[in-house]
Amino acid sequence: MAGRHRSPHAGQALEFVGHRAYTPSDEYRRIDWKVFAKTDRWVVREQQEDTHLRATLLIDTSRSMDYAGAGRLSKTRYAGILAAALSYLLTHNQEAVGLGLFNDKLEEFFPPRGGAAHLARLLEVLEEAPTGGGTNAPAVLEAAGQRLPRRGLVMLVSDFWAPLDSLLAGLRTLLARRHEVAALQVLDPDERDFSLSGDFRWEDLETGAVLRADAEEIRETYRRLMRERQEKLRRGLASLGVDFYEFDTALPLEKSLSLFLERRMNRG
Amino acid sequence: MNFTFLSPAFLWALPLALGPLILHWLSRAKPRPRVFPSLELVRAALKSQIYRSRLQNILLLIARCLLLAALALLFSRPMMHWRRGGASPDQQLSLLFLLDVSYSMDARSAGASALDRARQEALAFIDRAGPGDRLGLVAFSDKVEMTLPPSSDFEKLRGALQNLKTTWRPTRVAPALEVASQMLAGDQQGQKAVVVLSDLARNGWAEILSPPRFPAGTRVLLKEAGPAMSNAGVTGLRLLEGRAEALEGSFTAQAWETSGPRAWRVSLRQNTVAQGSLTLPAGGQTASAVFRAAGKGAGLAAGEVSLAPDVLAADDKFFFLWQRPPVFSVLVVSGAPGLSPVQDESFYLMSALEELSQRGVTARKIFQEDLLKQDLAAWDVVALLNPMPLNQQAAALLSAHVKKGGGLLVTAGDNLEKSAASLAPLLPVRLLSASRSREALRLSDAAQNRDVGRALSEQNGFEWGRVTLNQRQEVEPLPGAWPLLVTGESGRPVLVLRRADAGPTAFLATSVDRDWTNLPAKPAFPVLCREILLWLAGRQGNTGRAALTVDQPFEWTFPDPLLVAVTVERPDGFTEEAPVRAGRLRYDKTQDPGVYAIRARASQEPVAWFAVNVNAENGEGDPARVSEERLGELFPDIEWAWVPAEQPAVEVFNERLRGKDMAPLLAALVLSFLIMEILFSLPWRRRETPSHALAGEAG
Repeated sequence: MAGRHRSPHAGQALEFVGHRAYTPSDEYRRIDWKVFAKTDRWVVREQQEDTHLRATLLIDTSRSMDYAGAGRLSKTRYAGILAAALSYLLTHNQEAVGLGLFNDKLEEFFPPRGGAAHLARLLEVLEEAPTGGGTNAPAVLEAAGQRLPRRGLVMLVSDFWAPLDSLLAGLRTLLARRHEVAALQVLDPDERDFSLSGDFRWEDLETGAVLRADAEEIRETYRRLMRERQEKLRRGLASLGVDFYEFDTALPLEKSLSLFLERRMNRG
Repeated sequence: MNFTFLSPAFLWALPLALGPLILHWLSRAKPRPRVFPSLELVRAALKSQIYRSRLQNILLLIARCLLLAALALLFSRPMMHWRRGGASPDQQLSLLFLLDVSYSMDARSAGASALDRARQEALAFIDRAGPGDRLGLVAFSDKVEMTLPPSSDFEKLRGALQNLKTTWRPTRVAPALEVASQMLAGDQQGQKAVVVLSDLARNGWAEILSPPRFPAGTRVLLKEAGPAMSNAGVTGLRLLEGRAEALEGSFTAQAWETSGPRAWRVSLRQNTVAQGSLTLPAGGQTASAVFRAAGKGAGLAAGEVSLAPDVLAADDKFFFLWQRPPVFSVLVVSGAPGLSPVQDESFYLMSALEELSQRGVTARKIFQEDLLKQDLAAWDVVALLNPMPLNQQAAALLSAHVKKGGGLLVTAGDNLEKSAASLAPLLPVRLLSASRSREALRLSDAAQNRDVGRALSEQNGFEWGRVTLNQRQEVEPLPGAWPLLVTGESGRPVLVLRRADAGPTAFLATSVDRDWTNLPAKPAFPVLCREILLWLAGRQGNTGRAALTVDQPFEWTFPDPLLVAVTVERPDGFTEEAPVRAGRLRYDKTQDPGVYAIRARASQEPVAWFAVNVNAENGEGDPARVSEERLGELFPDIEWAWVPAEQPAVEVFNERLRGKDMAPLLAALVLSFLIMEILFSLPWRRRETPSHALAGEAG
């Protein structure tokens, strides 16, 4: 993300850079009919222009993000540090960065701006970000979209425990506004691998629901279901053209961040 | 069924089998609280897994409980008993082996006899005996052969077992059972048992009249010493006697559990003289075969009939003795020709000799006037019948004949009064006067001890009392002469024999026609003539012979009263001396079949032979087993068990007596439960490798 970058957004007299899948929000004139004639695929022509990035970090602060495995940072804390790091990098590169904290609603929102003072404010908010409430992805993303009049990069940082259909529906609203969206999933190893042992009385952090189960008994099935859910999430996001990045709170943040930036750079 | 335990203290560990249940209950009583970001997948997994994991847990719990229970039981060493009153481990055992050594135990299969197998079974018991156990032995055939009371001297018992051999006797279990019951009755402590090691052939169990009186609680094990096998044997022989030119006879054979052709041969003096094939029917029916062979050599010959060998060789041979009739010649000199052949003095004698001609007797009649023309050296015996007075030449001729060993028979008649003087040097008697009295005849007491008398006495059914004399010559036997026939009441000699240095002579104090007696018309007359002439010809069968069965004593009277001992040559080649008392031998060591020869001291040729055969008529060769119904009748109140040939008796015995050791079964169960523990502890789906963030996962 260092230095100037190319924007994927379309514009007049811009250089052709490639095709992408058609979305309902695209104008018909941008459809490449020649490609359609050849392949029966609806694609639009992408052009690029040099521009400043306007990035917005939407951080999930629902109660599920409050979970922390033994000896590890909570997901909220991890996401906060991640967001802080990204904010710093963007600001340092003369980019505009905004911040939104949400649970079942958009609790706080700071439109994208540049400057040190704005950055300090964002860092302060991230430091003090409270957790609580459930998750309502469609409403939050709709609200965020409304608060973002100009197209930009929206990085959604969450554990994505919300229902996938509603999450994807919410993402579509953002995409309809021609934002670029990146999904950054933060999970604790306990959620991913379920390497827990013992008979527990489980309590849902968000809903407060309780049930009893032996971790060893359900471990293999949980893992299978988790794989299936993750695969479904990836496919869903891929179908929307949303980049998906996974963060594990057990991995050092600098390594995770480095991998993330490298992927972004390779993506162009 | 009931159980005893060798180490009951370990049963106190049985409640530990509930340990897994208790631990499980305790561990599940208070689940730990745990927060989780979202129970979406936890709930879904639980719903999917709950039944399978619960079943797995239940099975695992059961396997653990059973494993601990099985371990506790395994160490407690349970013994399962099939019936009441199983022996406790500290009860000592008194056990008697009843080991069959009858000749049917010699049946062989796979290179071992039934006795070999029975011996091995007994040795196996000894190897497994406990320190306080006492073992004994009763070896039996149709009688008790040897006994060894129960003791803890196992080496002595082993030695006795190793030295046992089969006998030639059949089976009869009753005496052994009686001895066994007496031996066990004296045993006051411990468990008692009888192990019968036999081929359990039914013939041996047929004559038991009442059940044996074993002490209460005695267990009986009947071990079949070998598989039932087909068998065939010779059961009898009949020879046609008196055939001088050929050995003729027939034998019978019997087959059990088999049928079909069987080769046979007859041998004489160890040379095969006849052979053939005999088809034996099934079901134990007898079949017979006839044989005829040229007889060679004179005198007595030992022979045998043998079938092709089968599993039981003991009854495949039958020994016999064949007496080839001696051949001799008689010159009959008639002193009173008569007006017709019937009236001739020699008529009845020649008729008798004609009957004997087929048995090797050559006879020729001449008149006395032709005597000087004869070469008496060519004749074994000269019979002067009612002779006229002899001239010197004739007397000298006859005297020379006798001195050379030829036999002379003189019969009385009307001419004797005139010829007495010329005959006197030749006769074994001193002639007295003729007399007329009607008396019956009988064999003299002295005749009973003579071979010639024995032959006459064997004419069963002949009544000497019906032979009467109307007229007779009174005589006085000379020293060394003895009467063969005497009158019934007075005991006066009628037929006198004498073997002096000059040669054998005989005088008949009556006529051989019917003038003075009805003797010539009696059926014993030809036999009398033959025996007298045989004796005179020196061909008298003073070689005794007899046909006996095993254990039957041989009894014989020897003509020499001075004989005090004889040598007995046994079938196994050994010889031994046997005493003779008052000329009579009784030899009872006839336990081995074969031909025995009796020799007098300094005698080269045997003076008597006898053939001993196994008693094949009692069904010893029949391999059919005694039935379980019969055994049930014999042991009505006793726990008994039949062990077939292929099963080791000691295993069955220990199971019956001490109970079946459950340790192997429990050990297998422990192993099974351990395997179940391992299997149910494993996850039922393959373990997933935890994934890591970012590393090649994002699409």
